[in-house]
Amino acid sequence: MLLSVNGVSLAYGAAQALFDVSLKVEEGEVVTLLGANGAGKSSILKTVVGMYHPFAGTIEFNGQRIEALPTDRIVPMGLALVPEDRGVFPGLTVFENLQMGTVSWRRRGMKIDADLDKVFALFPRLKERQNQLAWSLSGGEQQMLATARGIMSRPKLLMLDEPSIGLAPLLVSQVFKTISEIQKTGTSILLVEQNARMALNVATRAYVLETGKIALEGSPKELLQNEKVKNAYLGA
Amino acid sequence: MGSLVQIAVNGLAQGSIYALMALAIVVIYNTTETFNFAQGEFVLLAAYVSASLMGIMPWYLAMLVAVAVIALFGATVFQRVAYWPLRNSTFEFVIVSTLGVSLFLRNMAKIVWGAIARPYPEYFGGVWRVAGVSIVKQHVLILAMTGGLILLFYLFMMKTTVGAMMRATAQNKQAATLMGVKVSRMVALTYFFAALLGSVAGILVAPIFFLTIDMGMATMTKGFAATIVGGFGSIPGAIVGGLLLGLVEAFATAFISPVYKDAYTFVTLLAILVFLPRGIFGERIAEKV
Repeated sequence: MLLSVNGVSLAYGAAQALFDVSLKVEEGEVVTLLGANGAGKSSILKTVVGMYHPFAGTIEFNGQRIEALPTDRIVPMGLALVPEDRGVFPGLTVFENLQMGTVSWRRRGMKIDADLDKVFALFPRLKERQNQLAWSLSGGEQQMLATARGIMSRPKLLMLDEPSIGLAPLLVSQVFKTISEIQKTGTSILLVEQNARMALNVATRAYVLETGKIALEGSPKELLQNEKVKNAYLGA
Repeated sequence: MGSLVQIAVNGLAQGSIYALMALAIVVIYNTTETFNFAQGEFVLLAAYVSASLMGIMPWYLAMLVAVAVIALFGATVFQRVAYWPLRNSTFEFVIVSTLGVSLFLRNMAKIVWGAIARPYPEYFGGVWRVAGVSIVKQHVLILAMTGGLILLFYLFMMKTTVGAMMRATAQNKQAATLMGVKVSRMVALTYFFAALLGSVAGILVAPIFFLTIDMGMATMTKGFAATIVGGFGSIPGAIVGGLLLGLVEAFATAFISPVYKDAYTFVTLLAILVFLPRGIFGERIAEKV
């Protein structure tokens, strides 16, 4: 088991955001987390990566308890979050942004060329723009950069928060193609998406989150045929 | 003509001290989004500590030891006491806390070294005469040292991975944390630089002024003005703003009257605020580069 979230409850001040949430990601899986705005999808990812700490429940990553650890201890274990706002460093070049992705594992004198080749193979556009400052990239390119930077951290589990948000339809299908390619390289993925149909197409398993609780769990096939999912998330 | 050169060198030397202070203020602001009102006390401490050490060791060693001690003090005890406990509160709490530490340090200095102004040992005294122009050696030293320090700082920030980590932290703290950057280390490093810049400023200005317990606060105030003149948050702005204020002061002192020396800075500041409210290098608000 790569990631297991067991009965996690989270509150922001007086408002409870997550109620007894349990989910797991096995090695090699692409797990998607569906749900409406404000259902708590991002909260789960942020809790896993240590930006929030749950008041109940446990989180295990690669056999180690992490629910009480700070982010800078969790990330080097092989967990990366590509946040919804992308979080690129606007005044750093594309190359420097990618370099920041290696901070968690790189020691003095270690080379990052092989890692760069890997992400440039996925995103040739970034190679062309290596020396450009990140703020000058388009929205789609910034998403590529954020994802590439996540991969540079050599994650065992890559968590993507709404990677298709705000992108043109053509770019959206590209994002999902990339997700399949990343999975082929052996990295597991936990994917939060509003675009349920696309997400279910690439996922190996899926959860549906409703107002901070897990409402459904199953294979993409099962969920695609589920009446409730059809009505609520697939717009059928 | 000769006297104009002399005034300009004088102004640039004074201005580069303001530039060091302004740079320290901006670096702290970019990393922590707040101000260090005790920045001037690094100047004060470095000046007094090095003066005392000169009794037992050669002047250059005394300065080196003083700068090293103050820079480490800034990165460790000072930062942990004055900033770290308040890192999650709004910026004005840190202002009050650093102001408190500033008062404490100044009064400690008063107890240890006395309230009476005293001269700093002249370690690089004298005047050079070049083509009929007299240039104070200390001014040349100030320009060389600040120029070198700023160049090293620039190279560190732009060419090293740790420098890039500091810039990343300044631009997006949350994303930097997601990269595994330890923000606490970046804060310590930032305060190390601030204290280093302040203490170098201290040993450089000390021979020009008398040692007084107010010398730090006075220097910091000019540094603050320089950051606003240059464009707040901008590093080139801090340097240009500092040099500009130094020049304004020197020329106004020579051609108008030395009585209003400190007022010229604030008149310039007011003029900038009226006509160029974002300063010379005013940045687009959304981007901290």
